[in-house]
Amino acid sequence: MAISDELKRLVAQMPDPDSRGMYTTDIDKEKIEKAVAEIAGGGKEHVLGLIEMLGEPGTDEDVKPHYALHCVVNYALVAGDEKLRKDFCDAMASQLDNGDLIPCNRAYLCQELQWAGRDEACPALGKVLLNEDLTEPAALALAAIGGECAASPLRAAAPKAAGKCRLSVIDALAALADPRSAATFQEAMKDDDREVRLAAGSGLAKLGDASAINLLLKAADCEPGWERIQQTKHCLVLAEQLAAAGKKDLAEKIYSHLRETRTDPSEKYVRDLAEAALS
Amino acid sequence: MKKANRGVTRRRFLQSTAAGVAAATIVPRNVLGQGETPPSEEFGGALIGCGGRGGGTFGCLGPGVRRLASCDVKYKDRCDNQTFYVDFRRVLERKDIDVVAIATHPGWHALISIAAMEAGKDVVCEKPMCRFIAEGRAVAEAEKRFGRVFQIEAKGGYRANKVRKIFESGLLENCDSVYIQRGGKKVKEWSGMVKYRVEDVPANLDWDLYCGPAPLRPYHRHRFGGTHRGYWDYEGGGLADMAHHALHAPAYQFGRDLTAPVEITPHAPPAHPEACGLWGWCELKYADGFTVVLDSGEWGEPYGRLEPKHTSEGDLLNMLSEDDRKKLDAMPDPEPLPMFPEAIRTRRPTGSNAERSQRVATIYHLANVAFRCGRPLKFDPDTEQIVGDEEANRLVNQPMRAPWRL
Repeated sequence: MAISDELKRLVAQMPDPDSRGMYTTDIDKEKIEKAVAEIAGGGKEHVLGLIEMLGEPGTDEDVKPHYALHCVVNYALVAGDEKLRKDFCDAMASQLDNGDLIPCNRAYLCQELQWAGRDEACPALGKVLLNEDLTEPAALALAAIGGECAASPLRAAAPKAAGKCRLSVIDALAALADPRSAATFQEAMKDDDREVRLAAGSGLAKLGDASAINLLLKAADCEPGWERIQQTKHCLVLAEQLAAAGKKDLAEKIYSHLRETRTDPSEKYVRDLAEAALS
Repeated sequence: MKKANRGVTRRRFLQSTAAGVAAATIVPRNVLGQGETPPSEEFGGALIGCGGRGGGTFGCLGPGVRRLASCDVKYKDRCDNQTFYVDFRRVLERKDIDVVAIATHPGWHALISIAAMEAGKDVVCEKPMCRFIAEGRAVAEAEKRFGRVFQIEAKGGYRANKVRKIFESGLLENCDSVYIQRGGKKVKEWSGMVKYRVEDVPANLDWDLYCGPAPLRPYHRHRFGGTHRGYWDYEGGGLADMAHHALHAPAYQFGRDLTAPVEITPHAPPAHPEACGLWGWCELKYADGFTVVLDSGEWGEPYGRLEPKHTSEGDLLNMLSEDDRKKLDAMPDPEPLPMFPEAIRTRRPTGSNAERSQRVATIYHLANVAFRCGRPLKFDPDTEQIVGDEEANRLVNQPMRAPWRL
């Protein structure tokens, strides 16, 4: 689409960086807010125009539309205008698969959806979860949006995702403590990638999933090192969750195991806190 | 010259005494008992983040700490995983490290502090403790769960104080005190660049690990080193950098480490999504009526909505009834809060333990959230959530790039 002269004029109202490349001089709040309100008045078309104006990160070409896009998206939140917010987010979501945009700028759209997106943004974010350039920002956006609409595309991506994408997806599901992902986490505990196993352990612990007790205890009994430290933490979190849910006998099972297995002097602090929890 | 490790190490001492118990639900006090630790004791220490503040932060660990490991993401050229490390996880796996000093960029402060405590280490961390509010809460939870000692650089060492006692007593339910801080926040100095040149990552730098839980950005040199302060990814501008210095002691004095503000009113131009920039002032009001104002003096008209008032001992005592003054006199003075070197020997919480520091950090993080959102906010100190603003809460609890998580 063509970028209108009106939009170009309004974007030019954004501040010029100072000699250090910063926004630290001549920042006129009223002037910026007036121009932003006018851009917002142009609705979805103006947002699409701003996206088209984005350039390589940090360049002269990029500075003003980059800032203007964020200000316009936030304008909808400040104004509390739900229709405007949704229109703007729909416009950004529609461009996530636009191959004419450089990956940095598609990641920037994910970032803006992380800022202001809601359920309407989730399907489009889900579609780029298997894209290596976008999996991280898309997963971050979905984790921020939260809820079933965010979890659903993550769950759908999990069986197909590999490498970096798999880690992002499992980690985001763990961040959401998605109650429908317990089986996915249990499966991921067998992954070859240590970080995927740790993400899965975190998810199971947050869920307070009693059926995961043996799995987590076994994982935490691995060789001394980072994984043992982290999975032990997950066991403790699970025990706390179970105790808070009134399942004290199950929590005691975890604490008893830790008390009996953390016999090396370097793990005395774990044994001691298990002992304290049992006393 | 380094001393030979002939003393009784802390870990060996803890191993040999049943008294070294870390309670699971409370920060332990007097676990070892004062005076039980021999003065000749030597601790194994590590420094994670060896830039400009590294030496100073390590020094806060106190005397008798032997530096066994130095870790920095810029050590790819010298990493031997024995003395020099790139990956902090390898350092925390070591059994002979008892205490850790953290002086990375603040985007790492909370995560490494938590990981260190999970590994059984005691921690001194540079300020700010965290990059956002939920991170700070997670540090406080780790401190409590693992019974570790935590301190923010050299903050703490408080003694009994009458003003503190008044606020801590809970007798002052309604006050109209106004505490204003003007200047000193280095807003322009620690701003980020919006126009910059993307460069190749230096060969000795692990840029992915530097970015850590933040988005993996194109490298440009202003994001690295001390100027990291100008980016929301790693810190929070001059406010997050300087406010902990300026607020820690007043927060103790005025009891603002016992709760958090409930109403936040910002005055700033629209914020940039990645680069920290200008702000004018922020007014933060507490449920008891106490108001804190941060006025940068670096943008816009000076703050003029309220005047400073009623922060002296005399003013505050005058707000109490005769009966309440008698009750106050009958109450014990606030407990002194020690510094790290004493705390690791007595197993008492430091003056800037994570719980206290979380409340201090919440003040300036809330101001930054309000500046970034461009709107007034209401905050619930109990749930540590912004009330009725879903998007603002995304800055209170920010997702992290895998494999990093709270």
